Amino acid sequence: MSLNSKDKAAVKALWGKIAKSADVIGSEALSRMLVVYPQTKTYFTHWPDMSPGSEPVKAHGKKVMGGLGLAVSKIDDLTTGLMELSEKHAFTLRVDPSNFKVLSHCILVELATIFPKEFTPEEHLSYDKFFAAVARALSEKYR
Amino acid sequence: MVKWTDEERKVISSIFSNLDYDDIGPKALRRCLVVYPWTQRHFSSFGDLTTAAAIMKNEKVAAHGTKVLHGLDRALKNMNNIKATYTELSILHSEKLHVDPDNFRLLADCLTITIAAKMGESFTAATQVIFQKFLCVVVSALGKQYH
Repeated sequence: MSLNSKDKAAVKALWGKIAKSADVIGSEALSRMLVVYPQTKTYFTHWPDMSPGSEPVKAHGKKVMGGLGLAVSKIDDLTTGLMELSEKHAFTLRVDPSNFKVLSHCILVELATIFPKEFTPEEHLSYDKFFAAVARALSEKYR
Repeated sequence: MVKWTDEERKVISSIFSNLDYDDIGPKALRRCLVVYPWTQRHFSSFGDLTTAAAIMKNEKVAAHGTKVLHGLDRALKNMNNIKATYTELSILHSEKLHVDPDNFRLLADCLTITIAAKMGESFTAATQVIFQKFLCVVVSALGKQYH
């Protein structure tokens, strides 16, 4: 299920719009994840406030979207491009890789709410594949 | 038996009473067939599904999408025992239709995204968690009779 040229074009096409609202999308998607999948809160107990829209959630959402922006720029070789982030997730953060799917789903839901017209089934397909590819690249260094 | 708060019942009821089944059902099923193309394996009698464009135009897909969405009405009417409500349908999907129960989860995700697109900002995290809980219970019930 690797990304073909159609997928890469679709991802880049919508990313232009996404990047303009990246901070909001990141914050909202992360807020959704913490509410809809409360088991994910176990990774953020060091935050003073895990509630939707709080400062730590906003800051972290921005960080996550920055990482995705990097992934878009390295879309032709995600494994190499995300090597450092993979090491971070594997050895420092030790996030269970099943959570990548959960966050991906929440970002897809957020994209659907913000871009109902542009987020067609074909765009959804390419983004679903892209997030899966990013998750694979992030899992690379785990074991 | 799954417990539902008054708030959860209210939210679920509100989502479905404001739903155009003939619009959302087809949209959700089309999305599933495009995003997860292996789900097409159950629809070889539906005609042309070779491209996303063909899927979007396919009338049998649209009709079936509406039918499947109405299948959720059973759960709406029997919130206190969704598991028992779907016994027959679960047996049908397992023994006659041979549908991998993971496909129920895929369709549920596509329905969530279709509803999110329709509701926009009002599909808050609080609404999403309730809607996903409902779909999760239905999906589990549909998978219960697989042996």
